[in-house]
Amino acid sequence: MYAFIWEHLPGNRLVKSICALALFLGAVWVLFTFVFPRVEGLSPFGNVTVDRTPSDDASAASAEQ
Amino acid sequence: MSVVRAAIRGFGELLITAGIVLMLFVVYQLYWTGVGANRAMDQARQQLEQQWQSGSDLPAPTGEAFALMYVPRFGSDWGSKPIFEGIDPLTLRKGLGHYTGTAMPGELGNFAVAGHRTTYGQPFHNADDLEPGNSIYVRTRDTWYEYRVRSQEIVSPDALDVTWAVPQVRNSRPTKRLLTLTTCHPKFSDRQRLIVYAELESTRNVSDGPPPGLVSGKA
Repeated sequence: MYAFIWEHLPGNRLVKSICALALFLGAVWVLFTFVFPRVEGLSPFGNVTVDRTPSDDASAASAEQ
Repeated sequence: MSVVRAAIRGFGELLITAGIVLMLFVVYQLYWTGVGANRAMDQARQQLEQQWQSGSDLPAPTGEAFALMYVPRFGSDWGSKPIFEGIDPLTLRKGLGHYTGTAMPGELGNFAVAGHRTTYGQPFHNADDLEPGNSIYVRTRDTWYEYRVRSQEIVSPDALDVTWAVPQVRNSRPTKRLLTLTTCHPKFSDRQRLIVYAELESTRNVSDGPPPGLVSGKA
């Protein structure tokens, strides 16, 4: 896969390297901006609240996850 | 033969890619979320000060900041953190969150506050350092509240009873003015929750200046 991309990048070795770096940074940007914010709910780092227990009273009704 | 080789190479590249993506995700969670959160907290702090000057006061609508928390024990770098109304995930990305429906600062009952431990500016990163007697200050427009830490507890994630007016006692009439902090435990996990209980020690008018204990930085 990477060999395929490398072969299809234009120019000499220097230009290819710059293009490869740009592709990598673009991928990082897409991940940080679109992908990670959507999947981070699945990670265990963010759950800091105590949740409603099944047999709960309604006094803290809005304390939801 | 070359097909097998290409397949193996492709699989290896896939694994390397997955490893890099996972590492980037950790960087995103532990570092990048904090960059945005610190900016949001600065903004909220400025907005609060403007609001306080223009006179608006509690209660704040959900998602709005209404108070600042100071914890000398966390060191001077910690500064102050805005407390927002509500504990939904989006609100907690901006700072600390007040469990809606629990008491407000200084009220009889339980002023319950949640905060991130390892992500989004990690305001409660060192919550386990809080020892009995340590001060936690909460400032609203007109009043400084000084709470003193009483105890810590580690509970299961469904232990909502720690936020009850009298923690763990159902439907009882509160006689104390408590502050309860909740965050995740252990660090980098959501297996349990770390709970810190504090009780109101004193109050002070904002016009009388900041509390002496806060100025001296005494924990």
